[in-house]
Amino acid sequence: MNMTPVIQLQDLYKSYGSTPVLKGINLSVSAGQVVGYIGPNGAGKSTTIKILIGMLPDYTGEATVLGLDVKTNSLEIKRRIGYVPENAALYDTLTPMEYLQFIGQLYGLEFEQIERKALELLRLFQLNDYTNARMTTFSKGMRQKVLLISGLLHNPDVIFLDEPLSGLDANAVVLVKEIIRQLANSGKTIFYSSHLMDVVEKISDRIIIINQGQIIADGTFAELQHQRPESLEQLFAELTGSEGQTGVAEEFIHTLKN
Amino acid sequence: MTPIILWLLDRFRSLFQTMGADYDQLRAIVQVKLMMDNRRSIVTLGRYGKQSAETNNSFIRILGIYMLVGALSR
Repeated sequence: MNMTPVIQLQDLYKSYGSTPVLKGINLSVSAGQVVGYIGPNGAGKSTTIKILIGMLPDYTGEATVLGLDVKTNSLEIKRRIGYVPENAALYDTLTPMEYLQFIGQLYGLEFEQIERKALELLRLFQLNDYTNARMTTFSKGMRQKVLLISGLLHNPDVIFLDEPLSGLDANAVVLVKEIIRQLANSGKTIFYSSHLMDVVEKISDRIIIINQGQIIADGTFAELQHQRPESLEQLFAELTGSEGQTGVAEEFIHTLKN
Repeated sequence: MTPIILWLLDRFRSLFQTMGADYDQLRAIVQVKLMMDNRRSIVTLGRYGKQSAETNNSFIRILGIYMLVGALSR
């Protein structure tokens, strides 16, 4: 295993209009790590991921993926990474098979190879009865499964997952967690953003918490826990400055009543 | 209809390549777009809510309507 970092960010700044979103992110991730990237809504999680996959080119600072600069080599990077977005617009008049064929072709895979892989993967996600059904009728979780497959179809070295578990049932969550774990064991790097603390706690080798565009905690769960021996949920609340949610909830109910 | 359009497109393969496009990707995109256009149920064609057949050439029909509207509004 080479020790050059797979993902590296240096002094990354990004703003939408005049609103700064990222205020100097520094991080480096080496191969085979599962990084859990968490933060409150609007903290800049998805923005960071979008910059890393080359979707947002207008940032300042340095960003490299697989040793390639995101600004100059974004096409090459896109070929070698996998990305599962939070809420992608699936072409829902297509069937899963047609959709995966399309995505596979864009990655330059052979027709037979895609078909074989897609059938197998759909079967493993228990979608084999729906291989040739239009996705218009699919539930959120079923779409998410198709999306996961499409992001991993070309067997990428680095995988960016933005809320990959949303809408999945409990069994599928267990399955995806296990898949992530085993992908990492085979040397792939996974950059994972989520709101589900218990999942992050279990699968991540390293947890990065960001708030208001800045990294406020970085380390293994054990290291973070060492500072304050609580659950990740409490730690998260404490670090992002939103304690006393009971009071807020009471206020919310009170406002509704008036 | 789609195979004909793709066949026509294939004639221009080298043209697209000299313009710097990845032809296989371009072809995949055109193919999928045509497939979706033919499946879309179009309200003006009065087939709203019907489960569409594999292909009904609704794309060609809508192009016909555009032509008509274009000619009338001259």
